[in-house]
Amino acid sequence: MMAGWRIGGRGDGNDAATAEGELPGGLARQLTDWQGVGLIDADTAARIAAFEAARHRPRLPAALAILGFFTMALGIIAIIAANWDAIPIGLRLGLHVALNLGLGAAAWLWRGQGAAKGMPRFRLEGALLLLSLSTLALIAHIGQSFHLQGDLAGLLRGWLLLVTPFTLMAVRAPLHRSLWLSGLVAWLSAELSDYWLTLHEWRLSGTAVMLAFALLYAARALSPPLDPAWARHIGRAAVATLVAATSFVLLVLRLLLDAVPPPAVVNDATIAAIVGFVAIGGAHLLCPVDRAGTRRLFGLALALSPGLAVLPFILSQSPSAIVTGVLFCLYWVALGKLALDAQRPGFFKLAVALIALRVFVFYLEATGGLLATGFGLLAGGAVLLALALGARRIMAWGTDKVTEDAP
Amino acid sequence: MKTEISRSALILLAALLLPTLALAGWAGLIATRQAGAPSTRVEIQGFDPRDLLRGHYLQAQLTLGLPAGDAPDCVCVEPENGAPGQPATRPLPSCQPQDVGSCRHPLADPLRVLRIYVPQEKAADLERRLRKGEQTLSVAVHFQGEGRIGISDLQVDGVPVADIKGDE
Repeated sequence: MMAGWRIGGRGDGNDAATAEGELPGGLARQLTDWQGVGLIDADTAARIAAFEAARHRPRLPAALAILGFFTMALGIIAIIAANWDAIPIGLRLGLHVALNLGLGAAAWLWRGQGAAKGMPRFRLEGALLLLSLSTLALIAHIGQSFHLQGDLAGLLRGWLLLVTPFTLMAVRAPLHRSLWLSGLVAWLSAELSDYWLTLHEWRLSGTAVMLAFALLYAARALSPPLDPAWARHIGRAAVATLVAATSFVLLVLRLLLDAVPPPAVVNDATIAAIVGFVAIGGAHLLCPVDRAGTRRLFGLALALSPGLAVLPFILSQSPSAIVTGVLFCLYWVALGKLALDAQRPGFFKLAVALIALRVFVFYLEATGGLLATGFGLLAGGAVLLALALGARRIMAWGTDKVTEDAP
Repeated sequence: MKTEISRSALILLAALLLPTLALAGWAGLIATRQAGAPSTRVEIQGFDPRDLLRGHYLQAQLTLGLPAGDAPDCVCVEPENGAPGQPATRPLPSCQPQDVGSCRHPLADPLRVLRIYVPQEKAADLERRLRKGEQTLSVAVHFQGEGRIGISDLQVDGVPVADIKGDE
């Protein structure tokens, strides 16, 4: 069968053998399999093989070169680290400043060249990421050199103040964007933790979290002038955080906390849920495209999320476990329905899987000690199989529906 | 052929370089301010005997002979009075500029816990010295006005920490 794609019906055995030698093994097997089941013909297989072989480069020299650079870099770092205290502060800081300026200049030059020649962006993105991290290190380096008495919030505040302009203007890599967003969240958390007890005395600590989150979510409405890809990234990160946090509370946290929370905590959380509904709903409606149809309903689900997470804590202990489970299932049923309407089969499948998981947790809660017996294990396995079968059918139905409804 | 640099490219160049230049300027300002500020050497004592070391930082207080929990908000440090490394202090009526301005070495929150960076390989040794109390550790305190201070030059029995060998 290998000969089918190797020679491609052209009788060009030597070229094909060369191509096979340079192809990744997995691709060679896949081409054979695809050709064997009739997905592709011999010509197509040969063209794919030739294309992949042409762009496939031998990896050993590149790997050795990278290893060599990495070893040299480690050596330089080791030499500097061993003599760190012997290097005068001025020289150390001067070298760090020079490194940052070099990274900034390189990023600027590579940005221009990349735009002009259609070059890949990885060099630019790498320089921007290193500059951002090196700026954080430089702030810490100055603080260390002069024994400054700052705190984490101050460090992150300074870093964000300095790197945000070029990050928003030039960064496109999701990794770097996520890093910046993580820094922003870490800074907000550090600032809030400094005032947490005072805010809680006023029953406003949860409200502060909700307002901070709503502000972050509202930032996606700044496009333009904010780059649309950045706005999408911020919006998705905010939605993912809110949905994940709500699900975590309903699925895990509430079950772990046996004690009824003190009234002060419940009051704080209730106020946060009400403020969160208004603030998150308002932030959602800031974008005109989110004000109609499925998106409007999705905004409603997001705005209700803090309330859903808080509700089981407000209710008394005994029905709370049931309420928590029902709320979790209703939450994901709603999200799954919205995902279907929005032609998002992946999100729909996630919803089905999570609901199935929660139903199984229901079963575990209901049966309790029965699981320790042989019959209990048999019944548990049967429930799991039934859930898997049901979830599979529902997912298949959802996928078919998305395909049918697709324009 | 003359290459045109667009306005947005110049703004990006500024966004890429100005943060570093600002940090360099900040470091220069701190160094200049410390060099021009009146200073004196003050001994330090461990703040929490169970937990002197936090990462690379030694947690310590200035040895000023003030009672814990009853120290004034601002004091005037008087190096000319008191033993070397243990200057006397005079409580100031308040931390308002008119009171602080009357003192050459004003210090706000004199019992504050200072974090002093120590080299990693000497950290445990310095912690042991401070804990045993057999040797005196001291820092140069730079009085920057309005009660603010900067610190530098950690010494063990008068020897800069960079010059001492481990377990000396």
